[in-house]
Amino acid sequence: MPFIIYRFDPWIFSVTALSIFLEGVPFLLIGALVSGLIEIFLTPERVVRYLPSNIFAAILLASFSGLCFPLCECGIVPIAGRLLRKKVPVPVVVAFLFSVPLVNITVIASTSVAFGRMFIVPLLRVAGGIIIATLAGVIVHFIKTDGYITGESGSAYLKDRVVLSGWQITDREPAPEKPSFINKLTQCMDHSVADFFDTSKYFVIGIMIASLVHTMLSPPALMQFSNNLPGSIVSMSLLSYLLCLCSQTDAFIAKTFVMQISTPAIIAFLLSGSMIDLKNTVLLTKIFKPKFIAILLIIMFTLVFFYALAVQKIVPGGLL
Amino acid sequence: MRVISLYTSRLLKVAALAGLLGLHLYLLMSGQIVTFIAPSYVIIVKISTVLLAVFMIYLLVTFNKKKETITTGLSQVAPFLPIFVALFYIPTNSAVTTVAVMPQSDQVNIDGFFMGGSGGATPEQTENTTLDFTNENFVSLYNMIYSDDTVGGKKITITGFASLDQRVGKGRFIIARMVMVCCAADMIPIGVICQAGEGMEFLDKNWYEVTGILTYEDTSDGSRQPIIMVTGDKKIEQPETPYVY
Repeated sequence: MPFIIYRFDPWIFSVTALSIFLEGVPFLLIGALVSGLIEIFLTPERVVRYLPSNIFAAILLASFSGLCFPLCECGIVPIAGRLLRKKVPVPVVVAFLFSVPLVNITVIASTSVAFGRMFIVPLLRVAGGIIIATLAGVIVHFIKTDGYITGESGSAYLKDRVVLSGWQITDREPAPEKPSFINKLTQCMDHSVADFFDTSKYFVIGIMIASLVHTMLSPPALMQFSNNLPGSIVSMSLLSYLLCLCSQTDAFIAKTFVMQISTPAIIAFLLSGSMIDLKNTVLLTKIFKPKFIAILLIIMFTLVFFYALAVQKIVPGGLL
Repeated sequence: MRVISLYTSRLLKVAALAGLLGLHLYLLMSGQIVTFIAPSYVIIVKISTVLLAVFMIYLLVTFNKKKETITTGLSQVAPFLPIFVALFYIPTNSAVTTVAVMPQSDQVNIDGFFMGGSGGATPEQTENTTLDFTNENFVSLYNMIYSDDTVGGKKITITGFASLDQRVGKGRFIIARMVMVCCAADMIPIGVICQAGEGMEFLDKNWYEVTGILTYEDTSDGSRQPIIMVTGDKKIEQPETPYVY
């Protein structure tokens, strides 16, 4: 990528970093709170019960399931493992994995707030999430997936969560058969606080990197980016993958590029990292074999690329 | 993987939340929050302040709970980073006039300045004989003069920093402000070209209150470009709130 060190002003860096943090952290907190509620009050078993028997209908439904699961990509992998254990077909789980971090209320809300009057952005993001998740599910349906699922996906959800998220639980006792409402709320808060701390590291580090990039990029270099549409889409997709930003907060960082980067590249940024990012790639090894993860990455980047190109036709004049 | 003690883990979490809560409260109570977030979005900062307080109170109430999750590594220290950044932040606003971005729009022409707008004049604005730019009406009046050339000939008063650029023409400069749409990361400079009067001198990045007559001239793309014919100027200190929203 043609990154050229143009300037580094600590004042601009700190103001940029703090402003992105202050704007994004409410959504991180709300996401953690809702995630805790989901963990306790909505079990994967209930989701399985409502899945249609037709595979394509199930894939389509999974692409919209984010509306009931306001989780980010960090929290969705263990649930996907749980769904696989419940014999939910792999294409449905893939559609679920791809769509949930994008097609959910908190992400729609945060993207809408970040882009203000640019209503087209949350619309394109959600539409992209549904379309790409559905297509990814359909493509995976025609791929032989036997042997691509690791044995660990059969482990209990809690164990998955412990292993995948880097948490260790001490003195854990068997849960009571019928926990009281207060107990459930306490568990919910435990999950929420844990989720907040677990995801905040990716968020904060992402902000620091984004602010550094924002501060040091040369405007002419950025203009060079936007003049080359395929290059800018690929670059922003990769940047989004590497930054590992939470889908509930990445819109605020994407917004900072609006003046410099073309609209399709912004949309590619908002889609790629939210579906699978670098940290998620590692998390996915707990439920899928590396070869299948590589296939998923190729599918994701390819679909995002072509969707972003289609966006150029929809919004040829850009966002301004 | 090194696992820290239960007590240290809880203490670090409470400290991180307390620090973030303190940062939020300080920015809200001191009014400095508008340096980072546009006033219309301050409500979301208030929401996170409440949620941080809820999380912290919960951790304090359950501080001695036996069952506990222990976090290791970055999860413990990451929330402290914004606090460190805030500690190094010096509220001089010295960089306000130096932030430059390059909008990609047909309306951009000079050095990344976003010079153009949309939205017609309100009846009151059209009827006024003087266009008096304030912090509150800056963006709406700016949009108006770029979209409605019938206001040409009116007296105009505008405050901003001067940006000198030879490409705007001899004896000309841009009177500009930084406009914040949502947060400091999305700020862009907006401005109007001024034609200095005889003997007048303007210094780059210095703040001025300019008075003059609003005129229009045709541009090569067929649009009408507003130009302020400066009749008077006063050098001023940078305002307490240098941005407009």
